[in-house]
Amino acid sequence: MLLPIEWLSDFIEITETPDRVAAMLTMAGLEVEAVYGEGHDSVFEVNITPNRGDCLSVLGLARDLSAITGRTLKLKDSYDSITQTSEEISVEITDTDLCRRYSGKIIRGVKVTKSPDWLIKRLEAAGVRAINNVVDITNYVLFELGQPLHAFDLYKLRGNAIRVKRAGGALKVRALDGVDRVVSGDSLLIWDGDRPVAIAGVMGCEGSEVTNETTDIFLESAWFLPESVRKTSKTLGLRSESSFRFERATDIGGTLRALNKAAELILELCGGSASQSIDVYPLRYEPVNVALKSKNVKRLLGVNISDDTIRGILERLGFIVSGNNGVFSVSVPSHRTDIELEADLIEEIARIHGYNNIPSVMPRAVVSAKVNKHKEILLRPLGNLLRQAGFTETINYSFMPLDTLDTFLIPDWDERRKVVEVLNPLSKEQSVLRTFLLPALIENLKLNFNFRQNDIHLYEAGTVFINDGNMLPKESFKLSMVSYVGSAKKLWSDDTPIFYKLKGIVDAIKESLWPADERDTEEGILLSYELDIGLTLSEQPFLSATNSGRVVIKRKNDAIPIPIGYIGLLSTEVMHKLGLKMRNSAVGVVELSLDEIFNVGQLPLRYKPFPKYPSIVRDVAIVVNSWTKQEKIDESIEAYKNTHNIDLIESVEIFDVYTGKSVGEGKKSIACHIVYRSAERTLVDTEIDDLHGRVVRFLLEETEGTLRS
Amino acid sequence: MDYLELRNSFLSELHGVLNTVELQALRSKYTGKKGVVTQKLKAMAAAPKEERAALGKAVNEIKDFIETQVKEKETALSKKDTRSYVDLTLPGAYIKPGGRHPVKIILNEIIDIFVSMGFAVEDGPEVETDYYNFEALNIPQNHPARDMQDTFYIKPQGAESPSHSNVESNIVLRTHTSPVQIRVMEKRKPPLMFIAPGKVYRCDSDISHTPIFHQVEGLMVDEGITFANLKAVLEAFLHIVFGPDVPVRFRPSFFPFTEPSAEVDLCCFACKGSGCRVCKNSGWIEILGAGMVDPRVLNMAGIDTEVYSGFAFGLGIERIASLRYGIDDIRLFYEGDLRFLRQF
Repeated sequence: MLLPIEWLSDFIEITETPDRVAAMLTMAGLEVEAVYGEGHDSVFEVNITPNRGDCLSVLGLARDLSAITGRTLKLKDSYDSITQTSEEISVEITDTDLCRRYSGKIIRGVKVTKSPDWLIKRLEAAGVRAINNVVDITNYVLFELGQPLHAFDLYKLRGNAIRVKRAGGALKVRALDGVDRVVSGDSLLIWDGDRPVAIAGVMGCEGSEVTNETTDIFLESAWFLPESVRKTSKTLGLRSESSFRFERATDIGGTLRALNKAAELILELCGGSASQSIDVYPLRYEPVNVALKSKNVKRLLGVNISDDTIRGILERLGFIVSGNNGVFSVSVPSHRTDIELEADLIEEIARIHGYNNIPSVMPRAVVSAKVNKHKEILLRPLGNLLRQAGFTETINYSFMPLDTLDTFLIPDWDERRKVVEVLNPLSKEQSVLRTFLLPALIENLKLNFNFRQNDIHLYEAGTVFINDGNMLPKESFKLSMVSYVGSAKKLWSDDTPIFYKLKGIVDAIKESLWPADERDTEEGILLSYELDIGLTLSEQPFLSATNSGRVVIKRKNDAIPIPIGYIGLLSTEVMHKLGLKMRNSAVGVVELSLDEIFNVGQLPLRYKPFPKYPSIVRDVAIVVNSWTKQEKIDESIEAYKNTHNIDLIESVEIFDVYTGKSVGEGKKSIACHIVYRSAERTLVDTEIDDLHGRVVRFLLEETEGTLRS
Repeated sequence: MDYLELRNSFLSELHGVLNTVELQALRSKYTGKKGVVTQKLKAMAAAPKEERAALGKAVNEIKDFIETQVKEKETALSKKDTRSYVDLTLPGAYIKPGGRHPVKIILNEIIDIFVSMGFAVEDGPEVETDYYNFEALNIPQNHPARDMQDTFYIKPQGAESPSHSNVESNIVLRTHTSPVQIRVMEKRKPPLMFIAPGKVYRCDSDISHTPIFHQVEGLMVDEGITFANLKAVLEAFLHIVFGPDVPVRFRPSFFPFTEPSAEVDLCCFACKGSGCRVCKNSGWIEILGAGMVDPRVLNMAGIDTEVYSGFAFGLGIERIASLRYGIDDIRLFYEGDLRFLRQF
């Protein structure tokens, strides 16, 4: 709110510079965000936190400043200006749960005109446009005392009555802004003899307002339940200076003071004569007494504050303090209903005493040992590996547009169709929570491609959300990667197909997490890929059928492998749908479940002695049918070892796969090193020549291959 | 010159020879026509007759020694020189490492600092119930404090009705990481000392707001935890992140779940407190919110406030990353633009 400092000085003597006053308020929790103008004409923009409705007025801020400086608050006693015998208007509060006090006053014979300059100047400094003297005075009192007032044209009130009650049922009303609105049955309204004349605490209705022709007015000064005003104002989308204050609790003890102040000003500036105030106040405010022990002040703040200081601070803020020797009972005034507990009082003491006057003291050690298994910590080694492999980390919004599922050809039965809907999205593109990470990464890829980036390698680790019918959706932590290499020529070329590059990274992830594989130890992890080839469709409908596969992990004791994700190239169809125009280049993608990976966690490692004796290596190149998998060679060698009880074959390493005219149509050549070694002795060439010959013959039989000539 | 000395000085010079040109120069320095050894031979004429034979033998020995050494060096050098020179200015063949997201850099840095102080690291769901996100944190329905956070509401799962309003949904995208406080306090008893980093959501988007950002929540609850402790822990943290000499101030504020509450400000590093654009002329930069956990919150989580007290804090990662790296548009964090991300 805007606070003109010369207005403030009506209530408290100010000897400091405006900057100094601003700093004092700020450091007491009333943050002055800006100071406009200079010296006496300075205006503060004060950010009032929602708990301090009492400070949405010049008086309220002056009261806090009084507590800060120790100077007296200049608050004159309020008196009722009665200049004529009382006149009857009946005021009845039907719904006392929503309106606990309703004060009012009739003033007859006013002359509605322009306000005097001093008043206009103050209002404008506070950011309010002047309208006419009566309305201006109600606004003036609102800013000065924090009590919203409403002036009705008495002549337009039917039946000489004011009733305060709920709408009862949905009801159409036209507020002063000229817009028709439907208020709910629970909304509190002000009625005259037969119709609503105001939405209580929010805005008056058309047809009862003060105009230039008005001569007699009825002034309202009431207390409405904050939650009720807030609900009505929010539902209607209608906010006003009044509703803003009612929502934050006005001072139920202050309705008459405001009414009296307004009457005094009206009589002075608009003429007329005032009736005695009407005050319907069925259930009077009962101050809450909060127990306060000074040892708890020390227990919570960590500093000793004397009983005298505590008492002084609270009293200057308007609390009534009784008791002594560190045990107090504090009576809460009606303008501070935000104070309910001892901790609330301790905050008052702390902020006025000054946070700067509380020392910094490290807590005594609370020592415990723990393993931090937070996903961000577990992700670190993987992130390092991916970045070393050239992948840049991205973070995307957790939203996606619903039609993404169609673009990626996700079938109806797929879990990824079970979306979580956002009721109030910022745009259609953000209407549901993402069920997989890939679409956002593809958007990143497109953006970078359009900026002519040649190599685009991105990864993201993030949460996806599946609507599984429980109260909260299923959240899973996933890792996704996209990889694209442009066709521009490079200095040091590497023409490994993108699929195998990506597969290499997935292999590296496995190696880094679980160096031992299933064959080595009991608990080792075997990572394998299930690759659909040929006529069957890939499991992921957006991937190329021939260049994609599932990634699965399997431990020795696992009955079946656990699928943890997929790897592959985007299909040309989906690339087309996505508008990816990368001629002759493929886009490789991976998505892995980090939950599954982290769930396996670390596996035990055991040192295995390495061989003492030298190896003998023999190469072989065989021509097989083009659909034969490399795996077949491993399996054949394994079979030979088992059936022939041979332990001299250490490993087989593929070093070339070739297709071309020289090997024939529908054929390919696989070349490998076979490593022979004994654990007990140095092998001799001749025995290995013999063994190698037998191994090759076995291999050819098993693979239905021929030796490459 | 003594012969031994001559031999040693030759050897040390030979050691420094890098190519054949230098080798030939060294050779002629010693055994050339005007070389040191040749001069010795010539000087023999002046020596007494009976010493000449011994002298001659010594000079010839050293001459042979030098020649042998030169030959060996020549062979060694010729082997070394067969490859052509590399161009030291051509770039190496390496995989250019990818960038780490700046938000993650800061996030992990913050995790490490608090872990070093003994804090555990906890996690919680991003889609939350109204209870954990608001009610349990002392933010009741229809309280103006709800306006402090623009909330995304989630359609209740399983609900098929096409008409629904935000008011009816009690499922939200968490607006802060504070719900994790409650979830952990419900499960475990003090002493508690942990942080909870993660994504949070607000229904807001402009140059300084994105609908998603990251926070780190922190909580410490034990017997005798004070506001003075809060100050010390957060000062220690900020001095590691922003430098040991940066002034830090604690300013009263309001959060429904802490009492007393504080905004923590850093002295503006751009203007050193005199006021500039970065700090909106205030000289201070708001960096985090904190406070003593409100007893209402502790009680709701089943913690005895007569015995225990604690502090909590929450800070925005994007804000710290923006300040650290001088990023003035926070939307850059979420565009996935390599021209931005590769800088980190």
